[in-house]
Amino acid sequence: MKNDSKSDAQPKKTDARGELQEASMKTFRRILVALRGTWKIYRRSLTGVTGLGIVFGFFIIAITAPWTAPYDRDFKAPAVDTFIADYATRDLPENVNWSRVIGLTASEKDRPLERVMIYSADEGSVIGYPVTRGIGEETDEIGIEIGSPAAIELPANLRYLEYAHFYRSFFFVLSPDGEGENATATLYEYDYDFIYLREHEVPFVPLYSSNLWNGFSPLYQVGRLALAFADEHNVWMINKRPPDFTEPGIDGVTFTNSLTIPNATIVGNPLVVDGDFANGSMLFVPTDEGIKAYSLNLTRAALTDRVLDITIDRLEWESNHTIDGETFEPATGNDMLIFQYPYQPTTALGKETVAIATTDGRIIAYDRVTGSMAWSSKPILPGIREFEISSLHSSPDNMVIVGRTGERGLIVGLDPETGRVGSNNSLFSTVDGYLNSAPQYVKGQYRYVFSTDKGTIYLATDEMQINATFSAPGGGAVTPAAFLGNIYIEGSRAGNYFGVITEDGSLFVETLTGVNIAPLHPGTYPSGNYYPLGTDYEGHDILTQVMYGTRAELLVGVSAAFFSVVIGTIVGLVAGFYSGIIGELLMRATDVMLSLPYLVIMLLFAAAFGPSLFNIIIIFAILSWAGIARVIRSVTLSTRKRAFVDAAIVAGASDTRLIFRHIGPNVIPYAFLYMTFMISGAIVTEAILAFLGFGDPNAITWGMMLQYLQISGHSLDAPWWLLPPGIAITLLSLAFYLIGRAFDEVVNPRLRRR
Amino acid sequence: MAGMTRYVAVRSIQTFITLLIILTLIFIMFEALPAKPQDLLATTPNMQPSQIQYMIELFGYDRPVSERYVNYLINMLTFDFGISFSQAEGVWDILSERIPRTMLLFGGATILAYIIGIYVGALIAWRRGGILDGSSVIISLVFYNMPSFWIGLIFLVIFASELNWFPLTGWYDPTDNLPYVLDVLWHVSLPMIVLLLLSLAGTILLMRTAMLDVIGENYMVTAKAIGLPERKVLFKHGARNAMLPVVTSFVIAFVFSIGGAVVLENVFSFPGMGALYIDALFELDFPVAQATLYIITLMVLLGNFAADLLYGYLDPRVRI
Repeated sequence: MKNDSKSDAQPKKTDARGELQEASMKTFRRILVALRGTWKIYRRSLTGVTGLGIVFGFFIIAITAPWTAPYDRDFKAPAVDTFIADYATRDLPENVNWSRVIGLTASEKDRPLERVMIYSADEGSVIGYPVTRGIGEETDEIGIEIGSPAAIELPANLRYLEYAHFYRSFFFVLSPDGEGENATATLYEYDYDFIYLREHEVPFVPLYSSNLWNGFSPLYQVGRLALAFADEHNVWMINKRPPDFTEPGIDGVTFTNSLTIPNATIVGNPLVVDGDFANGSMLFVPTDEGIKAYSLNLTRAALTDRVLDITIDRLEWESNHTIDGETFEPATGNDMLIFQYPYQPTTALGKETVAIATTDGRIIAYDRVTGSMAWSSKPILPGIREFEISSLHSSPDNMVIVGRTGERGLIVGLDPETGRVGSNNSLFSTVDGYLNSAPQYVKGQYRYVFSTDKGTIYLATDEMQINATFSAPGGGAVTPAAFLGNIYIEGSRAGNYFGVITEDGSLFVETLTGVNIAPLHPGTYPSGNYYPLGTDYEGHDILTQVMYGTRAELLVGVSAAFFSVVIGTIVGLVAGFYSGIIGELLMRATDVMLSLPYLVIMLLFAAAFGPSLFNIIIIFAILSWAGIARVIRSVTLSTRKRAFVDAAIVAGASDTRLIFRHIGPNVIPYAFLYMTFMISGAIVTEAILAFLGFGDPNAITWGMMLQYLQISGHSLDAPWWLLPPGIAITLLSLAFYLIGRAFDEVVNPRLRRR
Repeated sequence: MAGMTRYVAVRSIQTFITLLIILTLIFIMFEALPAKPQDLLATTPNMQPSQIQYMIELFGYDRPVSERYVNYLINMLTFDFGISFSQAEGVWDILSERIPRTMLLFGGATILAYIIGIYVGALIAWRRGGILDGSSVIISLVFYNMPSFWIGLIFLVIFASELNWFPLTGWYDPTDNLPYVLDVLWHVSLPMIVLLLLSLAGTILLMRTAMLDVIGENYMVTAKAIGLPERKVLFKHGARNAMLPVVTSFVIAFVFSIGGAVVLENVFSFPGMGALYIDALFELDFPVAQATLYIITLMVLLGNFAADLLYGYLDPRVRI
């Protein structure tokens, strides 16, 4: 063998390969023998075998996870399991005919609930039930209560009843006095607390009533109400400024004025826009000659700028719905719509349009201020040939058309600036039945809620796509006036609900979105799924996550330990072999590394270089090689003194050959031994890093599961989520540790029990 | 004692050099961080370039690295830590109120763990092979391999949340009707118990192994054969010699328990140094993070040093 290193002649290729083969067979056999010997000693330790078995089990789980795990890696429990529809029912008092309900204030987050106002047709009285915040704040219930009512008697022959709320509530009741040509009517104003305020004489018996304009002037910080009535030639308007905070005790200021249009016949409901007290207040009247737009004139006090009078001033513009020579008839009975972004000063062109629907399904929009036609559009919907427009509504972003096509109801969204139905004709849905309530826009949810005459309540998105349906409780129809619309309820189950008064006289509220009840207990759920260990906050099945997490854990544990051991072994070998300056230096470095608090520094690195599995492996390897280096060095030192090394040196072996061929094999068992302890430590360290927030967010590891538990705030109340990952970490780490201990007895014979 | 002075002197110099090396390493690590303080400060809207420039000068980032390094060393060694980025307070003020809290927590736990662990470990090793031996080994093994935060959470759930024996968070709550000292102890109890259990696990295992080694030695057999009472044999001859590896591992466990304290402070919302460190890292508050890291490392080094001294006292062989 000595001659091998010096032989220079071309060795025959086959010989070399044969030698290599023989040499590797020899090494292989030697390894086998060593392994068998090791096993004989190892298996005497019960703990060692147990540890090995556990690790083996985890490996199997890691490999077979896609087939054995109950669910997919990215599975989330379906909404039917994690969301429960939150609802509550409150009985409304009996003896009341709930045939017509005129309004629960659309309560929003910053406005508390007001009253359910019921107009009972045959008794001629208005009854108001306060729907107030209930005890739900403290308990787990939905916070809504019906209080005792207050009622007033109304004059018979009620024609109109409207309820308005802005900081203060009012309602208006119109009743005709007498009949015939010269009959007049009276408009009664009542305060929120059913206190009669005043009455106004309307010089005619109205056929039409306008929208109740209910607006707020950001400039003057007061609300405004405006209402108009019309018959065939006359319009009567009331502008009311409710009392504000600076005028306690006065019930506001009211202005009334009237207008006569002798030549044209009024054919539909007027439309009021009461601007900003500054300008832009207008009244739109649909006649058989087209829309006539009148401006309102405000007279102000010189010094204080208070409004002293409001009159219908002059005709600003009129338009007769003519497009390219063809005149379109306004559809009678359909409302006109003013599209205006709420609370914006009236400056933006193109966003302030008055729209009217015509008899052939066309919508014509006029610029509010100038009367020029902004656009005209006959919405064409794919697959729908004819549809009839019932009404126009508006929301912050869309003009919403409610109509019917055949036996189905229709809800369409138009771009208010162009009149087109969305960019790809997608902004519409058809529903079974006809919409009997205006689509109410729920702020903050970007949804519309409406009911149909079949008793179904729909939720539609911004794009008019139906994404949820609810049935009226009890299965009965939701009577037309009984759908109250969006209610924001405060308390512990705060959120947006819709309110419905059912035929059997209860107030039913149901949440629009559902309450998330994840994390779920272990068990079976409405979808039929069984979650053996429950789910986490997003609905991931815990058992699946633990099983898939095994992969990352084993990967991180073994790689981090492996690299750490490689570095440590090399350092230890070199330090032990070259015991001069290099050795001393390396040992000092090792001492320094050993005295560092490694977790704290690992956190620094993780914070600096970003969380990822790879970084964690590298960081761990860089900071934990010191312990192994020390041990390897002492083993190297003691091996070096042995006889066979001296023999090899005499024989002329080079340094590298000595290190790797002679000393190396003696060191490897120790390296393996410490590697198992390192794996144990790496797994726990990764868990700690992940828990503190420095783990890899894209990987499923048991540490990340626990971190997520902590972050979602359920650490104290979800033991099925808390226990499994921790048990898995402990088991796996313990298993490797046991393997290490048992292996320790193999490597260090004096540890063996006698 | 022979050679003690020399031993102490050599160890002191070594410790000081190690401290300098570690300080340098910390400096390099912070230099190597991808984010620089002025980048972070510049993300505040309405920050004027002149203000950013002022900040750069204030923290010395316009000077060359070598000058900054020297300043840094001087500052660190004189405990002049500057001002925190996220709280407008001196770093030392913030730190100084937190150090005693953390020291109470893990100092108390470690000391208790060692006192109990040495005694129990020796006892178990003496009664070797019994049920007590096997079961305590298994229990210690299990606790040793548990992630510290997990056992902390479990204790929190059981003892604080369900049974209400301990408070859930914090250090001191003026609304509790307890005198200051008692209130603090009550708050610190649960994290300390958890830390105690974790440290006990390691200590018992180690002490047991060390004692097993020692028991087999000849002098132990002799002592028993002579007829010395068991207690004396156990503690005067056995434990004293077994304590040597125990003392060295005190250092290792000290290092470990600082890491454990950091984690547990997070779990128990305990406002100590560990919590400060993690917050500073998240907010990239450099002065605080640097100073905390330095103090922690300093404590570890001093612990090492103390252990070395103790070892030198106990084992004369080292002083040669």
